[in-house]
Amino acid sequence: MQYADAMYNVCRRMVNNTADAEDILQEAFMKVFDNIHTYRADSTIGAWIKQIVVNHCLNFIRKKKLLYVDVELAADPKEEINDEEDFEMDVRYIKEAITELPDGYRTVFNLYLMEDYSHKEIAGMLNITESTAKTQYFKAKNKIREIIKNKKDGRER
Amino acid sequence: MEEKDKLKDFIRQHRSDFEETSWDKNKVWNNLEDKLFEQQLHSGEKKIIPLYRKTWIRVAAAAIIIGIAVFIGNSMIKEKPVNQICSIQGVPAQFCSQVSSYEESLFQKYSKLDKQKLKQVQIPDDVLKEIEFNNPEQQRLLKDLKNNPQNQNIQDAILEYYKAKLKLINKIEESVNKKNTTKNETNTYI
Repeated sequence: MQYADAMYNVCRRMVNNTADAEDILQEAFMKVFDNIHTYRADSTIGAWIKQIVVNHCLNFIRKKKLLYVDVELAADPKEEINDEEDFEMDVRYIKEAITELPDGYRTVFNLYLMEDYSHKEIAGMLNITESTAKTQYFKAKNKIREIIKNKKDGRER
Repeated sequence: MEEKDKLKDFIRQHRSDFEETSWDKNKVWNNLEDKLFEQQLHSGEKKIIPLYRKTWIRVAAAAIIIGIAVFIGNSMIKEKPVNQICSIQGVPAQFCSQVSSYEESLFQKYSKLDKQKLKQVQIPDDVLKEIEFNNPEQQRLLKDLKNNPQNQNIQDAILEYYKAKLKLINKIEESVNKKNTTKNETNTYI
């Protein structure tokens, strides 16, 4: 199955746990096989499968009540944009930092940066505003920078 | 905003480094395969169940089981079974002919089922019992048929039962074949 690796990585990143990722992937593929007759060629088969996988991950996260995206606290994204000061751009550091993000931030971050969904699409999936989706993403980025900075400082001491 | 997103640019440049390929694919695929097979089997069972909900069908069906029991029992030793139903006095000739035709088909189907493969695909015992015939209930119901050889309802039920039995054997055969096909395909993918 050519999509297995990609879909596994989607799950693993979103639920932050390999065992849960395997279980969710299995359930998602069951759904794919059961509903393959409903596939319409208005998107690629890969995108269709990915949407099913992502939905399963989001349901899992919601069931576990891990996802907290506070709409009321959403700030104007413009306030969060100025976060481009240099920080350690290293794959290993970034991967570690992503796993340490709070679940709400990590979900938005992964959907936007890793899975290439737009803020508008993410807003639809999470039932939040587009503005909130952007804010959560920028907060996630700031948090990643903070985690990496702390780690780097800790290692240098 | 997009232009200033250095992290986004960095991740896109190193996208493949963020992917993992060393995960337990076999475990996931084996579980998936089992679930799909289980689901398939259950969907097959659901189609059979309604036939047994009417008491008179149950009685008549069980009666025919006695005949088929002999048929299957004999098929185990690769011999064509004796048609017990036709030997009952008073059974109409046309009905006997229809029963013989069904028994012939069942015998052919059952003989072709690979008993080793049935074990491999883990078909539940209660499903397998549906294609076994030598049990006390069957004996009792054959007796009922002997007592009511011209009852049209029982005759109709017997024919319906044969159809259902054939469907069940076909379904099992299909499951065995699909299990083998899926395994082959899985091996190709992984």
